[in-house]
Parts: sequence; C-alpha cells; structure tokens
Amino acid sequence: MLKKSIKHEFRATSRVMLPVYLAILALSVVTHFAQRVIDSQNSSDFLRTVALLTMVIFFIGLAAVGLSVIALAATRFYRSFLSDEGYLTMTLPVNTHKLISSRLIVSVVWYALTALVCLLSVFLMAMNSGDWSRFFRGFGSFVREVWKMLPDLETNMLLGMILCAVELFLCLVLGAALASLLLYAAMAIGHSFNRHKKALSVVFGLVFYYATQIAAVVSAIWIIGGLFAKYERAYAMDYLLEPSMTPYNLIIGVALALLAAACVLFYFLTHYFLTRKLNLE
Amino acid sequence: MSLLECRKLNKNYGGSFALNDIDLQIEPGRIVGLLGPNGSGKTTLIKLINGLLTPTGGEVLIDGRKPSPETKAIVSYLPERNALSEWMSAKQAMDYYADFFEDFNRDKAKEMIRNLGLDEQARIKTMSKGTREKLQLILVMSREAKLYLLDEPIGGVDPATRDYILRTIISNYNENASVIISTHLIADVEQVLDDVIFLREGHIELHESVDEIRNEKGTSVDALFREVFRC
Repeated sequence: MLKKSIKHEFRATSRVMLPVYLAILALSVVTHFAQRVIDSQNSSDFLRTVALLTMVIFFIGLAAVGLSVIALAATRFYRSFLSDEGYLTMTLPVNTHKLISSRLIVSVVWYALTALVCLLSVFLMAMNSGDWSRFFRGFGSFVREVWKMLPDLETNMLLGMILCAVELFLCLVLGAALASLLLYAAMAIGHSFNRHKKALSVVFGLVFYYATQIAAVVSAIWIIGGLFAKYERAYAMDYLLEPSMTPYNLIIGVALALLAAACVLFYFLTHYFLTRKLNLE
Repeated sequence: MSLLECRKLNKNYGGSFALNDIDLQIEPGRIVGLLGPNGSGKTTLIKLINGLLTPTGGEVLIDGRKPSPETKAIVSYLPERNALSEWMSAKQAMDYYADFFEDFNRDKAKEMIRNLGLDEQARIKTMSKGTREKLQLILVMSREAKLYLLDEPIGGVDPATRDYILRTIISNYNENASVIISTHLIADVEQVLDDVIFLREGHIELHESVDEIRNEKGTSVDALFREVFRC
C-alpha cells in the first residue's frame, strides 16, 4: 500500500512540479541570451533594459521554485488529510504511518529534484558552449585525481571520509524531511481546534520553527562546543588532523542525531493528531 | 456475529456529549435508515464507525474488529462532502479506487457512469455539484463491501437520479452486506429501508423494523419521525 500511496502522490504532485521545472529551465535559456545582449557592445539601451529585467525575473523565478516545493508539501498534506479529501484519505485501508510516509518521501524527492533543477538552470543561464566542455573536462580530471589519491590514503582516513560523506548526505535528507514534518505537525495540531484552524497552524509552524532553531543553536554550543573544549586540552590540532577524521564524523554525527530526534518528534506529533484528534469539518 | 456493534459508545466534544452510551447491533443483509434532526449525532456515529473519530468511551466493532485498515477494507463510505481530488478525471478517480480497494468493481462503475450520462474523461472540477455527488456515489456503490455508510446520498441530486440511486442501493446489497443511510429525505428512502434508527441528542430514541412501525403503529416512518421530533 505504501507503493500505491507514493504512486498516487507522485501523480498528484508531478502535475504541478513538472510545468514549474520546464518554466524555470526555459527562463534560464532566455536569460542566457539576455546575458549575451547585456555583454554585447552593439545592444541598444532598450534591449539592455529588457535583458536586465529578464535576469531579475530569472532570479525571482529561482526563489519562487524553491518556495513552490515547500508550498506544495504543505498544500498536499492539508488537502489530503485536513480538507474534504481527508474523508477519503483517512478511510482508505492503509495505516496512517504509510499515508504520512508516502507524502513525506515524495516531498523529499521533490526537494532533491528542485535543487538539481535550480542548479541546472543556473548552469544553463551562466555557461556558454565552451564553458560546458571546460566544466566536464575539469570535473573529469578532478575525479581522476581523487581516484589516483585513493590508494595513498590510509584506510582510517578513507573510511572516515566515506562515513563523513554518508553522514552529510543523511543530514541533507533528514533536513529536507524535517522541513516537511514541521509543517505537517503544525497543520495537524492547528486543525485539531474547532476554530481559527489555519491561523493556529501558522502560529504552531512559527513556534516549531523558532523552537527548532533555538534547540539547534543551544545544542551546537553545548555539545559541539563541549567536544572542542575537550579536545583543546588534548592538543586539538593534532586531533583534528588525525587520519581517521573522527572529530568531523562525531560533529556531523551529533547534528544527524539531533535532526533525527526532531524528525521523530514531529512525525509522532503528526501521527498522534491525525489518528486521535482529527477534526474534519 | 453482528456486522456492526456499538457497546456503550460515547463521544464527548469539549464537555458536551455528541453520543451518549450508544448500544447498537446491525445484522448483515439490512438496509438501515439513520434518522434524526441536525446535531443529533448521526455524522459523529458514522465517523466513529469509519475510524475518522476516536470514541471517548465504549467501543465500535465492525465484523468483530475495532476500526482499522482491515475494517476500512470492508466499509464503503460516502461522505456528505466531495472527498475526491478536483484535478482528477472520473477515470483517474476509478483508478484511485481500484488501486486502494480490492473489492472495487470497475465494470460496474463504468456501467453506472454510462447510465447516469457522466463523461469518464471530464475533470471533477468541471462537474456540477450534483454530478460530483453522482460520481462519488457510483464509486462507493461499485465496491463489493460488507458495510455501506451513506451520509446524505441523495441530498443534492434530482428526483430521477434519486430513484436510480435507490434502485442501485437495493440491487447492490446482498445478504452478507448492510447499508446505513443517513438522510433527511425520509419519504424518499422509506421504500427501501428494512430498519430505522432515530437519534436524538446523542441517544437512540428508537430502533425498529419498518414493518413493525407500519403494522404495529399503523404509520409511515416519515409520519412517525415528524411526530417524535415535533418542534
């Protein structure tokens, strides 16, 4: 049933996101030519003004694409569970964990795709045909250099680097999941009230956002600061340069654990309010 | 075993009881009218059976089990509101039902869509309110479920469609399935009902068979309702 839920969630969301991606990619190509107009000595003032405006619209468009994916995660959750569609969603023979997970997984996939599309559109806008071949040559030689370096690295260092990369990747995934889960929990709680459901959802969203930020800063100071203080006494530089990359793994690992804890908290709040306090009109 | 059983079922909203100590048993093969004035607890009872609400006290059992994904697989629910995504076409809505409900009979749905003159390719957002209600009812009645919960199934449709829907309800159910219809249009549904439940302020005022009402009380359900709930 999770697969089916994910399939239908992709069907519902791709009809919004794919046209958005096509629009920003098309705009990036137009902006690429606009940039040429600006660079050209022969362009009239009018053309330059239009080209500049196109560039401004492109950057506003990039921001809008970023916001649209977050807005989509919020509206999909609201429509599926808390609006009239909730009468069908919540009476499907699927348990609520799977229903929430399918929305979460699909939103994280859209965050990742949006990041890639935005990156690609910036490349399309900024790079000329010669730049592309230089970029691929440079990237190819970077990969070759890294490949050559690998046998010379100590095993501990190599494992540490791999672990670090895995941890960073998981941090990105959990960070994206946290963005959605925070919205889900705020809406699920806000809509459990009889009145002012939307306003209360916004209030809970802001409270959760600032609480998460404060918790992150306090934890960073307390835990990571503590780690540094400990290792200062034990010759921090030697430790930081030790081949296993242990301190970096530890620091990212702590961040990962905090992200995971926040995700679990917001997930269970969402689940509890959807199953126990659902208050459809 | 009863298909639906409520034992001392309570639902409390912020201090006031929407349902108070409901004891109810519904056997398979019955068409039951759930009748009562606004705010009497009809929708709350239906939501509790569906698992959309959690009881404050007591329990509700469907085929011997508490509301869960397993019971939702055998309950076909028509809500009072349009629960279908507006961006979907009628065909996509059928795909959705077919994917999630194993008992969904696509051929039956297609036949009903044809009979009621709906367009499979039309998007729900372009449909009128009445057409949306018809589509939703078609999807719900095209399931071969054990329990049908219909909340105001004929409220927004014309009399001809109303007759078609009532004929569909009668022809659709079998000896293993029951139908609970919550409605204000008592005179229209009376002809298809086996039993009626009158709800008043969260209590069951009356639970009798329509034959008993007609034979023993010598009145119609509609007339009895007007008498019991006279303002």
